[in-house]
Amino acid sequence: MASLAERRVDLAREGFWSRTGFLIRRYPLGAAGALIMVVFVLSAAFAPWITEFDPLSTNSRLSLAPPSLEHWMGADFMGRDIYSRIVYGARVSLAVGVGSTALGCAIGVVVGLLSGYLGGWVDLAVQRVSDILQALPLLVLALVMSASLGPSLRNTIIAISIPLIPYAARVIRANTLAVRELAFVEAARAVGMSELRIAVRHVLPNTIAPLIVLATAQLGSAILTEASLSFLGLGVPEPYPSWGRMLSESAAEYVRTAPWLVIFPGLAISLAVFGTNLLGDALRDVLDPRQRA
Amino acid sequence: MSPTPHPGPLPQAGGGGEALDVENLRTRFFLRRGAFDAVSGVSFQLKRGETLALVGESGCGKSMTALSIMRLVPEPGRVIGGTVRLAGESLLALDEAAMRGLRGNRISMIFQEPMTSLNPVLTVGSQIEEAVRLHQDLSRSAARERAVEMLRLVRIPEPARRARDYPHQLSGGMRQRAMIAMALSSHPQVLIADEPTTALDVTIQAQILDLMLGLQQELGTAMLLITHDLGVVAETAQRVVVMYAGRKVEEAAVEDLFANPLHPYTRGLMASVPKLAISAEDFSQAAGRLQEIEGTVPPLASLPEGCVFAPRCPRADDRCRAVYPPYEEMQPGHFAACWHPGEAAHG
Repeated sequence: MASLAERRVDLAREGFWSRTGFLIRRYPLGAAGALIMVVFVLSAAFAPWITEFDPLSTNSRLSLAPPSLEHWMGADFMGRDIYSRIVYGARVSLAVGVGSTALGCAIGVVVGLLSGYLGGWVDLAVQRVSDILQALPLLVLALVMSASLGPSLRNTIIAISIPLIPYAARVIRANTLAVRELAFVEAARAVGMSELRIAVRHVLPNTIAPLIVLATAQLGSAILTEASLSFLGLGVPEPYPSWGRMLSESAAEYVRTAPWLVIFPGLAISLAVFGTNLLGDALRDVLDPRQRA
Repeated sequence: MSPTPHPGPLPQAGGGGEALDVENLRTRFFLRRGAFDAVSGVSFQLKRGETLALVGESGCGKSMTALSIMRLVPEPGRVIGGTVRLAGESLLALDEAAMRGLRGNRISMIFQEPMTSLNPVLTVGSQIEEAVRLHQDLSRSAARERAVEMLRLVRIPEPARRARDYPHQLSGGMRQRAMIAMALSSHPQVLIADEPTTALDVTIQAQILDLMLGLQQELGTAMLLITHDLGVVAETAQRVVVMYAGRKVEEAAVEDLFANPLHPYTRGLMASVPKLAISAEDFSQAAGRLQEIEGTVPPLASLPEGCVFAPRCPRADDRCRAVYPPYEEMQPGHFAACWHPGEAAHG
């Protein structure tokens, strides 16, 4: 536990740039992952400035146009610019990825902390419900959720966040069980702190590092799940451009005749997942002392 | 260094100047295989500014007595009898919220493990500041100043800078000083120190003890010092309570106890402390094997009939094994529970 703070402080003592330089040299793959994520975030943020065409406007003359200087990723069967759609699609993917991860982790933290700190029958009940949720594959659960909620951006976020809750709760619970036995918790009681305050201010911050790692890894998985849901027609509906739906609309029909309809959204999904996984691995090394060589 | 002003009016000790009055305290643990008493009928008084040492080997109920006073006995234990009065106020009768208001405020406790008693992800200063703000109506910056002032009081060099450090940046001795600073930040009437120096190395132990005694005199705090180290007792305490298997077996002023230990258990404890040979005569006495108390503390779940110490006692006879000896004043101010107090061991 100490080493998290240790590292945080040691890093804080150095300047920002030398610190960044150190981390890049130490974790080049993680830096690459971070770079990929930064590119995606920037494209999502500045989408209107880096695209020339409206991602939603159709143009029959451009239907299935191959990549060219003007439309350098080509156009789909409705003549929509694929590059624009991918850039705007980053907004959807990030919204779903970050939104569902944040929601799932937030609920998971509350549930896990309660379960671990209170113990007893609360813990037992929470754990059994978690078991049930975890017994179902992530995608199946998300599928059922989004099918019953109906397709919309908000419902997709909710549908993807729910399967994440037990994972986040487990991580927090396991750490809470360890941390609540430490001497400083007893010392906090001895200075007259309430249980709620101890749980939130003293136990929780000591359990958060592994959650950050989990959340980063889950970000990629959430993006992938959204793509899968959209591929199956249950994710983010039209007119939002979604990478998964771009694939699903074109995969079967056009993969031979107009492969750029499939290649570019597929590449975007792969890169985003790849980026979050690289970043997640590096974060695990930085934050988790047990993994450190 | 001048004593810092008390933040509020100091509640005057009632009941004959006793800061802490523990009467027939009984703490029972309810386990699946039965209930047993970790503390059975312990009584003692602690006057303002006095240091009382609670002595005994591991598992004799010293720490449980302390936790019972603080009302922090872990599950499945419960205080089932007796009274604890803090300056006349009965602690066991208070509701939990009122008790929380007293902990760290009028009665504080410091623990054995300075290495883990501070939260690793918060700075030392912010933790003391938090403890201060729990009990005193101070602004953040005022509490901050108070935290730094407390760190200065426990003689941590560069307190303002140290307040911004995380616990891992402090040595064990420094951390224990910080814990003392936190415990004393609201000027408690009673400080319970549970083996405060056990985890520290010997040179630091002396410093910490000196510091605690100095602060105690400065602030007039009564201290309940829990230890198994008789050297520490001799240096710090005015009176000593010896515990065995959850019971008080002897109580006396420190000089009386060392000069004339009545209970065979106390004698055994003293004999098991290594002595430094100064003269040749001493050397012949001190040489050879260190004495030990034969056997181990009986499991609390299956205590013997009669005197609990009888199975390990060189003086034990049939009466010892049948009837628990009454706790009596054997000499003025010197109490013990033994059928054969002060006699030489036969056999």
